[in-house]
Amino acid sequence: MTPAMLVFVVLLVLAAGFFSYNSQRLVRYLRIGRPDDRTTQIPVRLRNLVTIGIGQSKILRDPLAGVMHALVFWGFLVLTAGTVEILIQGVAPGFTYDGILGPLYPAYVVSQEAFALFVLAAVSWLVYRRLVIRPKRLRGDKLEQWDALLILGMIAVLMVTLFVTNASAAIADPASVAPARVLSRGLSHLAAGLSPETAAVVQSVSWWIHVVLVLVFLNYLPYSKHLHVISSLPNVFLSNTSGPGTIGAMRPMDLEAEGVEVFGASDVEHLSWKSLLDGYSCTECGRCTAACPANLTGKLLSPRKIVINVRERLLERAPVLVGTSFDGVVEPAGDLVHAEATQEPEARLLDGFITEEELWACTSCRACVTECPVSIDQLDVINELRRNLVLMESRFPAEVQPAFQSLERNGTPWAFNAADRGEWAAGMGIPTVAELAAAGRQPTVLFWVGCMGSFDLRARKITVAFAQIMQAAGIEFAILGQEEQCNGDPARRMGNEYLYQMLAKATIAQLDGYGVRTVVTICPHCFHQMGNEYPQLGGHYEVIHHSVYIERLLAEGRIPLAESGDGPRSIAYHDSCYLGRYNDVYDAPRETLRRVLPIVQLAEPARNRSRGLCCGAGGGRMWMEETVGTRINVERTGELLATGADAIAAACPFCMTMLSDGVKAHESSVPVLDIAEVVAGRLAPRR
Amino acid sequence: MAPVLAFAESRGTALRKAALEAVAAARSIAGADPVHALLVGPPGIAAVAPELGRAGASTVFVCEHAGFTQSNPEAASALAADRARSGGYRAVVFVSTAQGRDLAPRVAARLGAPLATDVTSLVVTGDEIIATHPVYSGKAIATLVVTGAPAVLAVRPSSFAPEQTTHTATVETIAPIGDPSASRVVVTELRTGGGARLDVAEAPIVVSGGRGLKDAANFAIVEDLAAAFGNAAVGASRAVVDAGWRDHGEQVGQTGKTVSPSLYIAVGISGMIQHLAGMRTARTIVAINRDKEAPIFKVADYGIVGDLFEIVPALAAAVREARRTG
Repeated sequence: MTPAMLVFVVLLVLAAGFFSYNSQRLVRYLRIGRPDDRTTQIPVRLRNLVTIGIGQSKILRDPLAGVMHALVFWGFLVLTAGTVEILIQGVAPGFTYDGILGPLYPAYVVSQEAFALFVLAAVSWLVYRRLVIRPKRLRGDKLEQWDALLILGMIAVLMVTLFVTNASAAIADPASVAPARVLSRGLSHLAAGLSPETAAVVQSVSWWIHVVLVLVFLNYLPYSKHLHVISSLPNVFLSNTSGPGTIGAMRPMDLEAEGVEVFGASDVEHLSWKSLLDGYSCTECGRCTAACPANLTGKLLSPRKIVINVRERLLERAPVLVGTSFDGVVEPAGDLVHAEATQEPEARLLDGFITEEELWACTSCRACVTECPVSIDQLDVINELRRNLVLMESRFPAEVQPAFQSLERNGTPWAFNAADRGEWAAGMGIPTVAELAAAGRQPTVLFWVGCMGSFDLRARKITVAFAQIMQAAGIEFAILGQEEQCNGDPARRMGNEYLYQMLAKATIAQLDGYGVRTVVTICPHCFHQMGNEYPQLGGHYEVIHHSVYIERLLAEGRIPLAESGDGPRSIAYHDSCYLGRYNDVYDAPRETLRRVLPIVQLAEPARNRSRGLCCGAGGGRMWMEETVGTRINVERTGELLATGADAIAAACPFCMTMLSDGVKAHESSVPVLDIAEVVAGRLAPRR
Repeated sequence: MAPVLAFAESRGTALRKAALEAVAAARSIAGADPVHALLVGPPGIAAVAPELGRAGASTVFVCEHAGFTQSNPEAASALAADRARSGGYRAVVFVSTAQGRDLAPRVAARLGAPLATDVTSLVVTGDEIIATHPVYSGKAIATLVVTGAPAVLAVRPSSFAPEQTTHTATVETIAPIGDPSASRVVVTELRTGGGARLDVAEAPIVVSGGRGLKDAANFAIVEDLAAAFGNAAVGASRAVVDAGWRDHGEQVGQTGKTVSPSLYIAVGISGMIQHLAGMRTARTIVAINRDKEAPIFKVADYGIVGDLFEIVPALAAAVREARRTG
């Protein structure tokens, strides 16, 4: 063994040891998080790993930056094989995969060289973007900027030394370099004047730079946002944001669990370990924040900051709880509570890092979660912190109090009388479930009207329109009438899990009592809650949103339409978050519009479908003041009006109220119509 | 029956409307027995005592002390309790204003007497006083039977209309209990939201403006209509408060104030759920809007479809005329 080899081996062992120490340290930190089973439904997880991870599908949502990143990523996958080859050469000079790969070796060599070139090109563009284009979402502090440039620099030097090593080897000993290394061989011709001895020195120096840099790079990762290089693939595999499980459903909570002293999260140890892994996986790319309606309109909230805060606090908190060294004993969970009591209130995630103002600015629109290329769940953290604020400390905006109070007393977030719930149906001949039950019958479907549809006078028109459509289609449906009450969703979104479960359990008991199986509703929030979150409490129903239901009836030809009708010629459809991003319903409402409008042109606002901007009412924002920055609904309505369409279509009563208000703020007279109203407007006259 | 004591609310050296309402409420249960009024305030307050006489009080007990310049619940309740004890009253009546809600429970506690708050009607049957008060955001009315004397009652503002009589009251000056200036609760500063305006949550009439006014400056016509009534407060929809036209203190609705005046006039307000949640329980609702489809018309008792810039000034003129001739 030559001295150089010895040095190499020592370096390799040290680097591997240090990396392994750091990796284990970081993994140990995750253990302070709450348990969360992420080993279910492996096939779905593997699919995510292949499409989102390897396939880079979410990164490619930004086409240019996406392609550049994908090139670097795929380059790394390919080049890692080459790096291993080079590291083996450190102990076995002249080693190649030639003997292993045989006839495939030239192809392997060509892929190595090609990807090295791609990576170099992509890195150059990424540096250019950071220094010259400077997109807003990438602007962080100086440290972040240097971190990014350092990594890009390291990658560039790695690629350059790869070529230089091989090119100089081609001069020093042409036989040692495979003929397929076309680029390296071509490069060697540029330095043809070099003597084989000098070339051998260059080769050696370049090889050492490359190898040392590989080891430095590896060990730099755990200290940098580039930890995502290691953690993002596991993170995608372990994530639930694209399934498995129900997308967008809030974490179940057992309010009666023995020994639980903290509801929600005020610090990192109350979060799921997966939220902590999310912290490791964030690359600070800022795509979440760039898509955030609150941030976009000047609020303090930045989903990116939330995730970074989790990581920062974890690195501060975890060493205290589990120690940094291997002999450190992991404290039992019971002691965490004790630790909580003794620490300063500021020295925790809530308040110390993330303020109340940020948390209440969230509309729960899920744009951040949808954008994150590595499937981080920012909303999960926000929801857990909100729960803690409300359940543990009774801290929420003052104007939310009347909503909570009304939910408790009147079963609706506004102080309306339950007796008026069925008022809209007067004279329409719609039976209540109770009336049918008294006659020993059950409706085919239950029309769940929701509080907006029952009490908001504008939304009642949607309710009536949808009821008329179902009557025209001959559907046997019934309503709960006075017996209906809020299903609890607003309370849950605002962190009041206790109130939510009270309302939800009452609703489930009622629906089960009547033997309800199928529910249709005009409210995407009710739709999501009852269809996707009720199973957590044992309520299992087929819940259909009216946009999907209408589309189904139209497709079956069951809705009698008038021969011709008038209506807007062009219409801009606004995607509701709880319909789109939460439930993937994008096409049904658009298809319905195409079917029922004479010569409809669907105008798409700049942000549409999964990128659609929230109306501003979600996450309980409907019951809060919006005093900071500009108004989300005005911003969104501006985007819709910019399409120049004759009308705006919505499929959610909350969006309806926000957009109607936005239209007025823009001093426009463009009508805002619900899908059901558009269809009802073309119903054939009754014979 | 024994006499009834009414607490006469004042601010500075001026009488509050609540003082006259307290006397009116006291008279409603006093029957043939006399109604006494207790007036506490800074030196000079005695000047308003005759007003209480005209409202129906036969005797006004006045206590002037510099310690009553600002609200002084501790000293005022001590005095009221002392007066109630020594006068052998059947009941002590307050109005459920901010001041009354502060004082009534203190007095009841000092006397160990029964307390009924937010009372909307009072009936006397023998030894019992039967009071009603709304519960569950006004969805139900609870009937309370108050036994024992004295009963401490706080009536809801605007529930008892002040009377105008030609009576003259006897004025008796009384001394405070202890030193009001040495009270443990000291009001150091009084910040008012909208100057001398009526608070929108307490006013018997509310005139609210919305986005239909088109511009902040146009709120002048809403203010003028409120001024024409004399006892009306100006309210605003969330949209115009958000737009920065009006102060948040005037916002009526779910996230603003909940109002229940006898008359609510909505000017250029479409009536979205968040607004309705705050004014739906007004006794009479008048809506003025250009759009006949505006949801506000569904809850309005009277609706005027048309240009508010014509209607509101005409209405103000008509109100002034009616008050002049009325």
